Amino acid sequence: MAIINGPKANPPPQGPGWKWNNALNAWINPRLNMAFSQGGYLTIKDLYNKQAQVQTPTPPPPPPPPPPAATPGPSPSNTQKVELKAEKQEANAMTEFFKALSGGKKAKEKIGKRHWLVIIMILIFIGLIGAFFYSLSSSHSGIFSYQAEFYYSPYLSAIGSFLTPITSLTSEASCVLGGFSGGSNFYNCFYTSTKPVVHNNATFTSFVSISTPAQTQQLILNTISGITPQSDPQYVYYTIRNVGNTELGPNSPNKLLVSLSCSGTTQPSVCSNYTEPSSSQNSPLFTPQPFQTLFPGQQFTNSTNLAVYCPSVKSMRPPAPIQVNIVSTVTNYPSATVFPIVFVNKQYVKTLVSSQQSFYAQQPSEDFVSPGPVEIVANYQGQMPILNSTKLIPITIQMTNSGQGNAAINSFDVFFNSTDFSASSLIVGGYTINTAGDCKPATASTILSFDLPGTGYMDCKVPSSYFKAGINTVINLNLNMVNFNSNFHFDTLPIILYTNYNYSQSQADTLNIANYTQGCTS
Amino acid sequence: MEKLNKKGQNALLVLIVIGVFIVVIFFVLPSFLNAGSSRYNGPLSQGVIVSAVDIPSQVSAGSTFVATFSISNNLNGNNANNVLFCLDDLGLVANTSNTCLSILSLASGSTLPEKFFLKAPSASQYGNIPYAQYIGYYLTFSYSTGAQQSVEFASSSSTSYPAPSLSSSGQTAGPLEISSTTQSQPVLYGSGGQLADGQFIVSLNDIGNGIILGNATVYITIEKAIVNFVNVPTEFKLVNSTSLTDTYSINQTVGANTAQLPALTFTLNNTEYNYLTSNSIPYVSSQIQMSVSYTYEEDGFYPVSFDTQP
Repeated sequence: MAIINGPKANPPPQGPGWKWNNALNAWINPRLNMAFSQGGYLTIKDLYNKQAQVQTPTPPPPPPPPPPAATPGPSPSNTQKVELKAEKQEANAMTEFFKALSGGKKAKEKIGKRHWLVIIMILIFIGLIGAFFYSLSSSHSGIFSYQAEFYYSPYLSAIGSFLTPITSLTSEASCVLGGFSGGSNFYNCFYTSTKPVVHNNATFTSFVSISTPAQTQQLILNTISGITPQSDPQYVYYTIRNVGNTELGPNSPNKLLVSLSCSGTTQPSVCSNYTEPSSSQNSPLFTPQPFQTLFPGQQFTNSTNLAVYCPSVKSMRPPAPIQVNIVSTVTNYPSATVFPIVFVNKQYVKTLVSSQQSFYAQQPSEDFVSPGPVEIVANYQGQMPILNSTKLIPITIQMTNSGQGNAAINSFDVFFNSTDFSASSLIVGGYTINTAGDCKPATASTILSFDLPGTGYMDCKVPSSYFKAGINTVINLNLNMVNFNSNFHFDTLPIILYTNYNYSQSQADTLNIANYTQGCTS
Repeated sequence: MEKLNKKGQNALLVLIVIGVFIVVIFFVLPSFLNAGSSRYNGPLSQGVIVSAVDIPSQVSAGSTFVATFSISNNLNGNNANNVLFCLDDLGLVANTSNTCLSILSLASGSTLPEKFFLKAPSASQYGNIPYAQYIGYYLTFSYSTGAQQSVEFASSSSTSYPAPSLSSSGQTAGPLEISSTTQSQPVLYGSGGQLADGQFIVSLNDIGNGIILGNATVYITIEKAIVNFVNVPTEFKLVNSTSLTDTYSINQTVGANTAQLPALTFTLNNTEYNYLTSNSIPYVSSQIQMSVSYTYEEDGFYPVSFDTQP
């Protein structure tokens, strides 16, 4: 039985649910106790009987027995007492209310106008609680809550500027006709800006921050192999803090792996000469190890055993400080964007062209990017692709890494609605995706907050090898618009671009070598 | 029996109260707690316009919502006919009824609020990625409007005649204005002199916020008992001829702003000319009637954001 100020073995759950539980318990506990004292379970009849007992005499009903103290704790505060008292009165009203429903003759007489008011108050209370919870359920209270703050605000503030182009029209004469492969079905006249509107929502550019002790860490040199290390174990300390938005750890889809490696970019031989001589390759010094679970904002200091040996090359004595890198890798993090494609009714285009005054309403190209250091920025020549028939759509996909680490792309998927589109081909950087082989009916999945489509959608997998850091990848989509509603002039249908990546970042630390003379005995 | 009735009434009241709260909590409150509705005021323009749009700026995934388009006629005292209003560019949003509605006649000054019941896509249709879509509309209506201008002729020896009207009169309603100008008015004829010419130039001016679909058709009617056009450009077709009038028409494209029709040369016809030059009458005038018929389209787009689930 939860008690508000009781001792907490575990950190209390945060958020309004916690308050609700308390309020609920405060309301239920006296009633349960009342019921338990009579038979162990609570029924309407119990309430009725109990009420019948306490109602006949005019004095107020006896207080319910105190809650059994399963866990010792401080006594409830004054406000809680007042609340409990009020709840007791409500309980009386409630029992009469139930009695009225069950047709108690005596109770019916007892229910006066005052009681009706109480009942209505209770119902209003229930209504307000319901409204409160409804409002919570529709808000963004999860790990992606920043989307509400960071995404919608800038977008909504753009409404004003968006309304302007409604009346500003562009003549086809000023449009560049032709587009891809010389076809005349592209009308590149929608947006004068050369860049798409990118809602850059990257709220964190690295998953973790790595820090090392302020004072230079010392390692004592061990003698050359074959001899038992003199001062083993020795430890390298480092602290890793989760600065991202999701849980990282062995039980999370986003695992956190940590390893130590020699930086040694200037003198690669130094590290291998200092460390375990029997292993020829010393970088990484050990294979990536799962790190402990870290929730956002949480940090943990870890230590790793590292043995360094006297350099086998005599010219390297006395030994210089060793620089190691603490490398953290976060696996399986998603990023996605929605990319809208505009289709224009052929008949409407004809009407416009025949009047020699083809005007289209302008719509800006939009990119909706997801958080994290890697973002997918898609654009069609800085514009929204506008099609009135089947054409290759050369969409430029750029993976933007706004962080300091390295991203390795695990997978890249293009989702499109198969009732809106039929894709005959998808060409990525010269590699033609076989729509029969590489595009398959999508299977619904949820990864972090992304809710990827299933039935009715196709999922085309693009080999991740086509995505290199800092390089734009051009995807040529060959999409047919299916079933254009002839009532429409335009139809904007988005495709979903999704990627999954591992992200590595590192922090260098310099280790001093102590006790040189003792370590290098030979 | 009476007691039983009262008991029933009590129970009924309780049920009603509970029912009201259920309705409020599950059906009414969500519409308040969902995103705030946004009202957009349409661009002020003369004609049939969407004067206001009420549409939620943000909707929950899979929820139904209502978009209300207020269609107004602000034409000066004229009914608008054959108004077609269509939702456009629905994209991921589904419409539960027709996307188009036709209004046969909309009286001047009246407004029809038209509600469309729409359904937001499920979150997986946009990947639960913050996504905003534009709900568009287009509105077309057919309209014709007219004006007139007097053309005046005077004897060169006459010293007294009214001040000439050098441009058209009559206010044209609607987004496409028709107007005209003339040169060398009044046309002066000397005794025994050559037939003199006047130039009549018609202009179209799009003052609305939309576009003219196809061509605008201009009709020009003259009283041929008084005035004739000579050397009529081939773009003009004689479409109607009675004993008193001739009506010409021309199909004209209207660019972004204005269009000017080829100039028409007008003269006094021979009978009237003879009266004028013989000084039997010193001054002759006639009205040239003109009108323009067209189909006008106005478009608008309004953003709707779809909620993302945490």
